[in-house]
Amino acid sequence: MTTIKLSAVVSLFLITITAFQAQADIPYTPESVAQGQKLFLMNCTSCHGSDGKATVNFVSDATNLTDPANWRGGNTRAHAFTAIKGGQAVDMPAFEWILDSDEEIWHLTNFVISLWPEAERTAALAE
Amino acid sequence: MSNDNKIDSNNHNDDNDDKKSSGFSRRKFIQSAAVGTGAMAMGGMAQAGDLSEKYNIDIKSIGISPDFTASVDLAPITSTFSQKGGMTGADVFARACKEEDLQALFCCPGNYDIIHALAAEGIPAYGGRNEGQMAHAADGFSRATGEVAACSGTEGPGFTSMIMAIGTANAARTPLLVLASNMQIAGEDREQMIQNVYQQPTTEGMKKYGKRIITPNRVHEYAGHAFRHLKSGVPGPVHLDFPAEVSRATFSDPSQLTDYYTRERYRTESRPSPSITEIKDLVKLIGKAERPLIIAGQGVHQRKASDELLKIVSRNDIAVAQSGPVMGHFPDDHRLSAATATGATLSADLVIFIGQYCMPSPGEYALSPNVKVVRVHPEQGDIGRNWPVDMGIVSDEKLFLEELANKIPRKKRSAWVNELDAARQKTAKKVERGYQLALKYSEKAGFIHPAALAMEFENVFAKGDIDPKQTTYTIGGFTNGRCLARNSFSYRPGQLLAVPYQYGAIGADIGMAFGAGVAVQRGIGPQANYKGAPVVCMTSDAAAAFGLFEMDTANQYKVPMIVVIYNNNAWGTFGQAHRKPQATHLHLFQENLRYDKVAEGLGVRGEYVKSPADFRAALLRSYKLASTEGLSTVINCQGIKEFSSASQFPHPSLAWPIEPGRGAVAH
Repeated sequence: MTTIKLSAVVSLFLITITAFQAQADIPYTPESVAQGQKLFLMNCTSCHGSDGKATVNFVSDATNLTDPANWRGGNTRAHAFTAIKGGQAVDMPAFEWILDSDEEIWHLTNFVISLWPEAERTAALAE
Repeated sequence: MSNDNKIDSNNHNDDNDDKKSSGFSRRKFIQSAAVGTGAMAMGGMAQAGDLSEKYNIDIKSIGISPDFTASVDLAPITSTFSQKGGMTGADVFARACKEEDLQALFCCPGNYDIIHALAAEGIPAYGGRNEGQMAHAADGFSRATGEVAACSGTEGPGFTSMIMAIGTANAARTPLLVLASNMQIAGEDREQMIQNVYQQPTTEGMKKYGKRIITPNRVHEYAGHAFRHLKSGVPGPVHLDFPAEVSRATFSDPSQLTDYYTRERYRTESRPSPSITEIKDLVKLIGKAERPLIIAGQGVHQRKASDELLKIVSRNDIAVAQSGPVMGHFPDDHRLSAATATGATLSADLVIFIGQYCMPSPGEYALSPNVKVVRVHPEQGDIGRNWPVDMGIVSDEKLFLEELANKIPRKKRSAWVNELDAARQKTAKKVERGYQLALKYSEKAGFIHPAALAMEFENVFAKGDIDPKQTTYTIGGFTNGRCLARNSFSYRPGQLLAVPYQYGAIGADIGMAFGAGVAVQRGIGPQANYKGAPVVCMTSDAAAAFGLFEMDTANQYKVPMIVVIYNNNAWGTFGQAHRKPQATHLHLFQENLRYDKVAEGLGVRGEYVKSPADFRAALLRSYKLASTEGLSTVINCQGIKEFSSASQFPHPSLAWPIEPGRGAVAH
């Protein structure tokens, strides 16, 4: 298959898959964080570790979820939500294909934000 | 015949005949396999000619040497002290192995004294192309049967070639007997001749027990040490190295040997069992729980305790997630299976680990942080490691389950069973959704997506006309391994070998599948009802580089194998260099390599497919030929590396499988 053909196929699917609708935000609450923790334990620890620090050299360059200051794609709640839902780079899967709903993705987002240092978390929640 | 590799058409159980009515029913397939294999056994070059005409393999020169067949067919001999020259140290060791009913030896030449003595004594012996793959084969044989198997290599390079396999077996707690010659004690520290290495330090940290035997008359004593460790508690590799002074020493009388006792005297079958109080307390704990869950590890398989487990959970509606390097000791289609009910384990309020040798830490299994934990383990010293416990019980797995089966009351837990069922259905829907997406990707790209391959595999072996319990298979590979995690299944003990379990070895697949194939060919242990059936090896282009030459070995020993190679032109890791693209080339192979053609060069069939439909057809065709003619096939499934890219082809299979559950590779 030529590179051009492959690119066309990829583009078609990206257009289809990444056309997000506006989603209702699930507020950051202890209940939501707890829901998110369950989802995290099931889906995220193999790459990001149980503490979110991604210190196991199993997947190269997995993101340290506790250090949003160094995230390449931005560090707002919306960025986190989009990264989880649509995937990132080569290895971060699009969880819209894995989780059941945007609601679950928001819970997971809230749990990830709970891992952030207080200053970053406060700033993100104030937006 | 030292290798029992003839199909015995009168010695099989037709208990599955009523399940399926197609041409693949067990009765039909085994009868035809007997005919096919017998025909193949008739001789070397004639077989090659038949193969080339019948299956369009255009290489007429390949054949099995008559010397090979003649050697395999020779009757064993029993060495005795009264024989001319007495018994050598190797003979003494081989006799001990025979008395211990050692089921198989996989090796390459070298360590001649020992492997020749074992083969002559009648230990079924298999010679392959690479010591590492043969050691994986021994691991595969052991996983498929629960029995001890041996591997061997020559001193130095042959020994070190086995290291990845020893590490793999150690992580899987396989009772693997690692044998190697090791030059002479007289040449120690002198770099005498070649191939010198200090073996025992090399296997440090990857064995249960090891010994360089340096006192010739203690050879039987150390055989006893080896089997004590192999057949007690939590198993693991045992490594013995034999200097020539030991293997070639001669003995004319047993009194010349230390501790020359029978196995009944140098080891015991007595095992720890739970106290009455412990069982009583546990029954109370289970009674209070609303959603109890048993994690049934490999100890349940090793100790052949599946029936007891089924009895207990059926009486009390306890969910079960099977785990370990070999699966099938709890059927995935059981109403209480949590292995296929992804996420339901998070609701469990009591978890009982039984025979979980490779122990996760909290956070590595999808369990509630507040869950009550009980651990049943044969060794006291391991309880409390990694995961804190609310109750620990030191017991052999089988004895524990037998005791619990006698005491556990009947109880219905409809809410828990319904939750499991709902989770199972939800998981199945997600897998189907992923399959539909993979079909679209395959069609658009013109190459097979690994998730489509995985579902076609399930369609053929779990949902098709072949008895779902019949086929033993191995799952490996980085890319397709993740996909197959969602589509792999096991319904009876010893059916699924999770090749990379815990150690993560890429490249062990084909050797391990060969070992499992030998176990099925001879109908050992849990493979008895499926004697002679083909085995299936689901693997990758990366792994093929390590083991593809063992198709030569499979052909010689007439072990019908179907090897499915997902060929995506790269290591599955290729995307990991995306932030440093200067390193991308480290992950790439030449594109569109033809592993099917390599297979043909090794005397087996090759198939080349690019679409899901073609793959399914090739799989069915290959299975039929393996069943009826004893032929092995390599199916080259052409994909593209871009299917592994989350941004180019987003797909749920790119996420690692949730543990505990099917497809688990960490614990």
